[in-house]
Amino acid sequence: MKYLLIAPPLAFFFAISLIPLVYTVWLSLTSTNIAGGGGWVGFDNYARLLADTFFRQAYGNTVLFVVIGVAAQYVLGLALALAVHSLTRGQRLVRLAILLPLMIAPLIVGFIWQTLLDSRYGPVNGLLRAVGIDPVAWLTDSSFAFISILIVDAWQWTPFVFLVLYAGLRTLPTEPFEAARVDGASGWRTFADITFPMLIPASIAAILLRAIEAFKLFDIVFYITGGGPGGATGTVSLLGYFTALRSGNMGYGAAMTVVLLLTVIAIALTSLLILQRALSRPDLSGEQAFARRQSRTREVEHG
Amino acid sequence: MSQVELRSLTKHYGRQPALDNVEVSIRDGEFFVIFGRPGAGKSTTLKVIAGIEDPTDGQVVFGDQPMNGIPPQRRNVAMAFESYALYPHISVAANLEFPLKAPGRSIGIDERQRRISEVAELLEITPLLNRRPSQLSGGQRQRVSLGRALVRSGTGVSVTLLDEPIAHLDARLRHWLRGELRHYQQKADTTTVYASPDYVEAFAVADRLMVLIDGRVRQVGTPLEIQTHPADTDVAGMIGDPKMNLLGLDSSGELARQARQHGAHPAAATVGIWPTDAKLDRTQGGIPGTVYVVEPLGEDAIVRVDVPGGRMQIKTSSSQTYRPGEPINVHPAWERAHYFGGDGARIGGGAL
Repeated sequence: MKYLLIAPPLAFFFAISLIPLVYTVWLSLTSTNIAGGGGWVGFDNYARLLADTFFRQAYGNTVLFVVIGVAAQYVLGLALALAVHSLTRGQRLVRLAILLPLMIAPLIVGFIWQTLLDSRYGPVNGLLRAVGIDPVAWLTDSSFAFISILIVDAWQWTPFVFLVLYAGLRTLPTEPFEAARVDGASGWRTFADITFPMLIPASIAAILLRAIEAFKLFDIVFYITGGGPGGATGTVSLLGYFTALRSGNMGYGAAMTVVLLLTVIAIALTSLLILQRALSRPDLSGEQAFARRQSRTREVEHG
Repeated sequence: MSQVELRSLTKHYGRQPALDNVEVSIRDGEFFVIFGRPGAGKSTTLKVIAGIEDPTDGQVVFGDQPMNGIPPQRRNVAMAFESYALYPHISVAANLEFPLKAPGRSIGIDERQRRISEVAELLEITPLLNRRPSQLSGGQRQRVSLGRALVRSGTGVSVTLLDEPIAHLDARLRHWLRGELRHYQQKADTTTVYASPDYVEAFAVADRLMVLIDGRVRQVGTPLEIQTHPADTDVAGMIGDPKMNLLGLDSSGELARQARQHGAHPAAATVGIWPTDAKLDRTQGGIPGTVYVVEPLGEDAIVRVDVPGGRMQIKTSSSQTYRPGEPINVHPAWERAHYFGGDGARIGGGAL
């Protein structure tokens, strides 16, 4: 009877998560094509991936998008959260304005930015031209296209980091900050010794969630550059999509997404392990202070 | 160190007045206690002095320097918070060192270490120096918090603010630290403002104290002045351990008759009698009453007696035994009784 009660969510879980996952893993071990042909190939697809320059480029791009993108979004989000938190009035309005990009569907975001960044008719280049700067090939030059994707991703997702960190800031106790003011601490020391350490849990949540999402980066790239020019902005999920559903090479495409999944799992687990160890370690600076004090006392005692 | 003046200081939280026209002058090098019940405005007063809170009205003046608008960083005050307010992610040693490392306070590393060990020794927290605040008990945290304020005494601090700094310690340490704080303050000669709701603590350490009730200053004076001349029934009701007995004098009662007979002020509506200023016996005379309960406290005992006009607490020697329900006669030392008028204000009595 009790199993009957949890059956619906269980069935949902199987249908939505587990079956597709197992199916994808199985697919990756075959040469299935979209017409239904193909057979068991074992790990051949994975061996092929290692040598595939398109895949290697897409994988490299994805890692760069994650590392640079999430780092930039974290720094920006933190700066915004601190700035808004310190406002004495108008917090509500500014908060709302910052959160707006989060409420727009990614494809629409792609459309908006494609329009904004258009080399000939886009308002961004229009502005640049107005201040006497040569127009930039935002979406057609491979380096600029890469930067454009970073900008758009940051525009949409920095608000998320902001939201998590701002909520974290709001829950911090006020007394240590009052004490720091009385103790004459500079703004930087207050941040480094008090605010930032207290925000570590919220930071972990924001960075981890953003990193996992960024590894799957698809929609913005799909709409704005389609992975171009020449694969310069292609990501693993985009390449997997093209391989499996456009070219019909289902098995090979599945192998790409499995590699992506394993990467995300590996990174999430290692970062959690590292953080756990870091947080459980006794405070080093305190220990050093104590050791220094001890040796000083010994010196005094021994003349 | 410097003199601290509060000039018609008023602080509202929304519509709620927390401080109402507080006017007091704290002398240079004085140990000044703000005495009041929880919620009376003690912490608010300290926070306004520190500059953490801005007054709604009025002025804070250090020496001859008005402090309004000057941020806490530049007021050079040391403060121990009631809620400890330790820095959670740095060690106890680093917490103690934190105020010494502020910009503009050029204190060398040797001097910092010396101060930290001295204060740690005083507060018995030396073995805890390498721990984090989360690894400490409440009493240990409070001592670190107190240490963070004391570590700066003698470094040119204008005033040291202590907000119930020993309230959460065990009785032995509280008693011992009370004396040590007083000694430390006199040695360093720092102006100290100390908030406490505890009568014994407040009166034991204070040079002078201010009684705060509902955000208003009701009396300022030395402990002796306040004990011998409590300004009104509210103040009288807060002092003493056990506190002063306040009994209503209704015109026809036995209590009123005896009080008049012993020279009570004709307008007196309330009489105040110290628990030590009354004797109990089983012979005739005095005020008739009934023993309510007996609390033996070693050599002394507190006997609560129901008398016309209220319930008295009387301190007697333990050698006499009384049983609850037993009829008893109370003999107040009338010549030492305090008299208060219908509005509660003191009108006389209380000779030593």
